[in-house]
Amino acid sequence: MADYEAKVIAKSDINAWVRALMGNAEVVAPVAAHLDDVVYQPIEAPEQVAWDYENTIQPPKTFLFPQVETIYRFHRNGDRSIEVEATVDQTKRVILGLRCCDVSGVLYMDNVFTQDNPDIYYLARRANTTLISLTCPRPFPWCFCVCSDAGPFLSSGYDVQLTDLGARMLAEVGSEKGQAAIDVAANLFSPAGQDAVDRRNSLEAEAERLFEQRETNHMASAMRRVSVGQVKDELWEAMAPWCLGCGGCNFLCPCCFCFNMHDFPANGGGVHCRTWDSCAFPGLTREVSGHNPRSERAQRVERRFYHKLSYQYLEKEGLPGCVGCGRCVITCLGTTTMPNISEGIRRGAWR
Amino acid sequence: MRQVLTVCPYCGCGCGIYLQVEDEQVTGAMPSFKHPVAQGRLCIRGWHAHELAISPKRITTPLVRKNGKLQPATWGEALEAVARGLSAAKDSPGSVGVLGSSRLTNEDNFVLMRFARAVLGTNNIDSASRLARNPAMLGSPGFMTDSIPSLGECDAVVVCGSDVAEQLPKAATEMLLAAWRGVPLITISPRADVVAKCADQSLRPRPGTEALAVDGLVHLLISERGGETAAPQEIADAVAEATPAAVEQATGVPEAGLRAAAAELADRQRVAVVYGTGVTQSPTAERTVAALTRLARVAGNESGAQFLSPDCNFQGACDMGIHPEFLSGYQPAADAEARAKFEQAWGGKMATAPGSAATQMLARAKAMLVMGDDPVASLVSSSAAGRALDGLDFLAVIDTFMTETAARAHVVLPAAGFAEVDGTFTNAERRVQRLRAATKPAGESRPGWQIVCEAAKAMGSPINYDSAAAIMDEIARLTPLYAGCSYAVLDEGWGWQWPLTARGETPEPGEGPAADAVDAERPLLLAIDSTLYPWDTDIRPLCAPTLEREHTIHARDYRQGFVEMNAADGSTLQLRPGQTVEVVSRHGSAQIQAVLSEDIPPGTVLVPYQSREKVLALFGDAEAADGRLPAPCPVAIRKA
Repeated sequence: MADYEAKVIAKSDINAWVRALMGNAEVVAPVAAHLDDVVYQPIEAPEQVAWDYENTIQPPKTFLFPQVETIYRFHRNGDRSIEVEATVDQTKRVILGLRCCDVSGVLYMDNVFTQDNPDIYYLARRANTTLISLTCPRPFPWCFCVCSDAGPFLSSGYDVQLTDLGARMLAEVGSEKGQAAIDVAANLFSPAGQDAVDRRNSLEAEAERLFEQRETNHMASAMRRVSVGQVKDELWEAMAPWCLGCGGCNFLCPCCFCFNMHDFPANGGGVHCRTWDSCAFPGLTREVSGHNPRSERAQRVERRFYHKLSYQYLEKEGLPGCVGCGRCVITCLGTTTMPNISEGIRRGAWR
Repeated sequence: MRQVLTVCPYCGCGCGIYLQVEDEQVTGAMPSFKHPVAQGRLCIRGWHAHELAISPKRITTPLVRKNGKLQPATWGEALEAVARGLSAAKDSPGSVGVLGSSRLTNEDNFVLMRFARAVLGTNNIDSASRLARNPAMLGSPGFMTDSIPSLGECDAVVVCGSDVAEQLPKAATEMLLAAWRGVPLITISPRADVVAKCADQSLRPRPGTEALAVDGLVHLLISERGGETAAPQEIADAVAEATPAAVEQATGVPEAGLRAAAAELADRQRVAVVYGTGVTQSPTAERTVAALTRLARVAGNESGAQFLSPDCNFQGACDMGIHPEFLSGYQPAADAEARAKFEQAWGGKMATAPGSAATQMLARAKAMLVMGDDPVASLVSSSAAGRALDGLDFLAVIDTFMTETAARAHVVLPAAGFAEVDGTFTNAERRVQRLRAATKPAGESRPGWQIVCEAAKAMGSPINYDSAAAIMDEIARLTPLYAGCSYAVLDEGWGWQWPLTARGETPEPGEGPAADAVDAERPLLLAIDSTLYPWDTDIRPLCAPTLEREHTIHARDYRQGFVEMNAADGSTLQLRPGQTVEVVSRHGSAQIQAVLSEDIPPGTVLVPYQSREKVLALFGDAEAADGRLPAPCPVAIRKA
């Protein structure tokens, strides 16, 4: 743990803290939707927060990099002049209860949207967002965050990291923003004693032990093979029919950011929007001439996993492009999930 | 921001989708994790449901044709024109017709059915999308008897005549996941589609010979098991002549392949047997379904063979009586007692004279009301449908987008879209599910059923419902199949599956048209492939920007139409990819671009459904009144 003092808060005081947070910002948290579904949504009352949840389908990236985001509005005035208005979202937001893998995903996206062409839309949302995460005491069926050091507990990157100790929560503060989030209800927090810290550490060790009981998919080994060009074309061709080209893995991945631009008419003028896109779609790379450098599905599958696994991108983007959240495992319409593909690459064989 | 749970409006899977709404605008779509069919997944179409919801191509005002052009009009003017146009024709029952659709909600279809039978006094109610997909209603009333996830729980899966990955993607997922676990997957269809490429055995019979390939499997299963108890005598008799050698001769499926497929099925207790529009739209549909039913029985599946209904509400449209012979729930329109029940509920008399199916209706009617349906896009002879519509004295269309059918109308009324209404769809596994309105109707559009009520009022026979929920209550009262269904029940869980208590009868397979054999002069067999590109009978993917982009790929960049040939056949003729060729049958010739592919077997030429108009004349008299595709025909191909 870093420069800020760790605190504890009684669970019975959590709602009061959340209410205080709601006074300053839009608080986004996992809430119950239909029956057992859980979704991230701005809350209207602290009681809505679903603390005991598996991960959500949609990653919190939707609040930093939305599925459809208005970039600017335009309309024609009475005198035929055209007015353009940039729409940068400056809403103060707290994302409460996100998992460590998702925090790691945000850190990766921070690098992507800061390098090359700093993206004012992402950066404005990011600057106004406070991340209050919740550690995982055990892996869910689809999780593999340990493969890229993205969880189940983090040592930095969060604004506040919460751990459920039983009757209390430990709040590790990781930044000024995190300190400010504690300070809105400072009277509810007290310094964490050694017993609380010890308990947090043993919960982390137990969570990691539970991961070790599972079969690994050898992602690191797959990364090596992809990076040195050891994966044969025949293997990608064998894998290709098992991808149904839905785009779901890209949409749900906390580290995917392909996008397109569309205009939509609105209010006598229009809006210019950024929208999610997917490397699974042949149309992503089809050129106006009709030529398509990735016309075959095998080429697109290779592309996705090259970006995710190769050292070239790790070096460029600074962090692995996979945080082991397992959403691709949940949403794949076929069988070309990260664990399956990694294993296939390592073995040099599919199925 | 909120998330509204609704149902995907595309295919028969009926996946649960959350539409994200901010400031009264739909800004996203994502799957429901716990939904029993979706299970956290969507296909490319479902993932872009929000693009459809905000599409700029919507019809937003009523339109009336003046001086040859559709012009914006008021609701009053438009409804009055509808009342005049339909009233003029309604006194002679054969002159007026109504088309509903497998893409409308149950509530829309039910109220439309009431309008046809009780206001217009006609049993001329059908759907071109229904007729095109499954002309003989094979498998009805419940097209699927098992559930979609159960497809993955069987001991083996056999798929015939369906590109499942395109038509019902989540059903394909079940098959791929099962195959991944080692469950045998066998496909039977001329094209090597995605599921075929993942299958353990992919049998590629010549188009039109699928039934014999299936019989060959049954023949081997029986002889493998041996003894008198292997199968009922009538099944054994039916497949006695389908020896592997005879099957190879007639279908082109190699003996070794047939034996390997039969070996995969030999020890399996419960085999799922499913089929799609590649079977049902074919002139040999009954023969093939009879063969598949035999296979299911011999392979231990009491459910029989199951049709994968491709549209979001194909099952529901049939359930609601969008059919000349049936009221809702398959109660016969000819049954006086059934009619009396509806007459008592609605007041007034119901139609008694028998009605026509969609194609005959188009040929005979003087005035039509079409809601959500697009006969020009759906029916085999697109141009015949267009001519018939152009020849009407009056055509009114209620729709969300300007289809080719709507473009020919005298009056167009703007219908609210799927994201803007309450209503229900019944998916392929008979699961009735709620749509929930996420936003207000765009422009001046209104829910379809409401428009029909207003048309009825304009004609002097008002129909009133307070809400979509109230319509479902009436459906439940008048339709034993839907007894117990209500919005309260639907909200408690993940919809409600109506219980299957009886299977439909499998129609007797007739002789079918005798197909010409290939010969030296015309060595290739040309067939229209209805299993692929389901997008092409549906305008909506073209109204969502990302899907419109992908559609170009689907159309192989040849939106003017194309044929697909085996690559080796193409190189024998020294064809370049995309080269224009002349296709010649004994009925005529056509020029069209040729795409070369390894996915088509040698000797076969396939035309995707979207390109059928270019080659239809080659099949001879192809305007089948029963909605079916013409039988495959021998052709020669040369460079144009």
